[in-house]
Amino acid sequence: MSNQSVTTFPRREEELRVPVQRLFPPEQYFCKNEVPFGLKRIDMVFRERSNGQDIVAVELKLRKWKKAVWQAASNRQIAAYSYVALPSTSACAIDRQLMASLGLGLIVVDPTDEARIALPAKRSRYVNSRIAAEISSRLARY
Amino acid sequence: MFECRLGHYLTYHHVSQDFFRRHRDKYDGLIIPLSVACVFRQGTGGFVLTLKTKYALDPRTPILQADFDRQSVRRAHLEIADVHGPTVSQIFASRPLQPEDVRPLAADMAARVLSFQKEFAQLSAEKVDKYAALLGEEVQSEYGGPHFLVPPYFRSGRRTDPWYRVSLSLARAAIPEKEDYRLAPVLHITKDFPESEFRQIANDYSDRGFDGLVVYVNDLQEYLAPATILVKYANLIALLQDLGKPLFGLFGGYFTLLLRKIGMGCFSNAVGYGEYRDSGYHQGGQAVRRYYIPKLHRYFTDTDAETLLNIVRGGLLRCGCATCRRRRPLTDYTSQELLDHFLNTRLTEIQQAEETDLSDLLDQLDETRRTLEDYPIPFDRYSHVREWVEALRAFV
Repeated sequence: MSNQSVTTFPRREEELRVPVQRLFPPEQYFCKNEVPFGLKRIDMVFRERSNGQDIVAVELKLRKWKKAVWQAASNRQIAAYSYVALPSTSACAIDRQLMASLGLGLIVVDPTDEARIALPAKRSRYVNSRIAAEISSRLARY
Repeated sequence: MFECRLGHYLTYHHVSQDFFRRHRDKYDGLIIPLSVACVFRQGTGGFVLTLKTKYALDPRTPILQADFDRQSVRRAHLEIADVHGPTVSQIFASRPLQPEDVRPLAADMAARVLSFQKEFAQLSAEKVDKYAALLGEEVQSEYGGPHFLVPPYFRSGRRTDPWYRVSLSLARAAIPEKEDYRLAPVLHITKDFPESEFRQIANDYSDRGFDGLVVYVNDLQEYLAPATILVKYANLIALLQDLGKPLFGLFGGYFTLLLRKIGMGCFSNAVGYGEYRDSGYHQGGQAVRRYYIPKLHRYFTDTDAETLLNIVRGGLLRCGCATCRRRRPLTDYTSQELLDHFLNTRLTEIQQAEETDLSDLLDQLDETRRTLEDYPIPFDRYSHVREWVEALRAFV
């Protein structure tokens, strides 16, 4: 039974949400899912409750890591730190050098439902402070 | 279209008058949709006439054949129908026009639509004082008519489509009405129009009464269209070129600009959006904020464009035009700046295309594509480049 659940984990991006959220606990971070940005939505957005306006964006993906990298790169326009979250089964395929060169972070979700930061994100040089502030203020209302 | 065989026209929109005024040295003429000319007649007339640029009126007739809920008929469309005559007006209010409705009216309809265009300058000049003052120019006693006349036209899907014959008869009916004006009928076809019929089309439109031809492929989104469709369009232009008449691309982007290398002449587009148009689209809409990336020769949403610019190293995709020289996020550009940048870029594209042969232009596109393959950029952001090159290589 347990073997079966390991091999099939996870089936939906949604299943990555809870482990990722544990990295940014609610007592420390505001969190909002599916935040509109341009014509798309960012899967998860966090903002520290106690400190400033910095936003952390997380793009969840099961497999297509290149698409996630593109979206995470786009999220650098509003997030000081932008991550891609992948199940460990897919994370091995990712080009970490490429991610590092773009300043993107990597969160790996293990079959045990544990998430860990495998590659810390660098602070984005592309944050549009006006749009980031708008999103940040929306986050504080949740 | 005639004196300036490679002119660039913009589709006029009444909300952007300041833009057209500020940039009037960067385009060669205006295409005024009949809807705008009707609803904002005096404002449009006053503005366009004092601008003293070439202009032509697009009758936008295909809206009359469009089947949509009559509850959502807009005033502009009713006014278009009105210009086409009382019978058309009456039918359009309750249902789309059918070819059999138009056939007996062809001569009358053509005369009415051409009269509107010929009289536009005289009957739409009430506000010239206002616009002449804004432009710091003297009011003239008389303003010129359109650069060329455009007969009513309909969209057709093949030569046996009844609408094809109706459009041709309208174009021919317009010849005796053109007086001293030049006449350029619109060849408005769907993307799936059979290529095997192109030669016959050229023959149909070879009449000496037609001084030029306007080509309008419906809803041709150049950056989404596969090479098979684009090459068809190119073949059509190459065939029509043999007629020796100036060709005008109504709605087009960079691909249409490249077609000038094989016979296309002038072309037009709207500013900010409108490199393509579905002639049956009857609703209004809000323009999305878009930025034109010069190297990719297409628009992207401002957020997408910003990502592209940030990902690709060496500033390859960055623009050095007067609007973009001061580096800041594209998402901070005003809508006006986005338009200004586009027109600056289009002017540069036109100049570069004139100085460079087709082979080199295609090589440049290929090189851009190869460079972008090294980045985690979704292929659909630049796949059009491959399709354009594939479509046009045979013409080199």
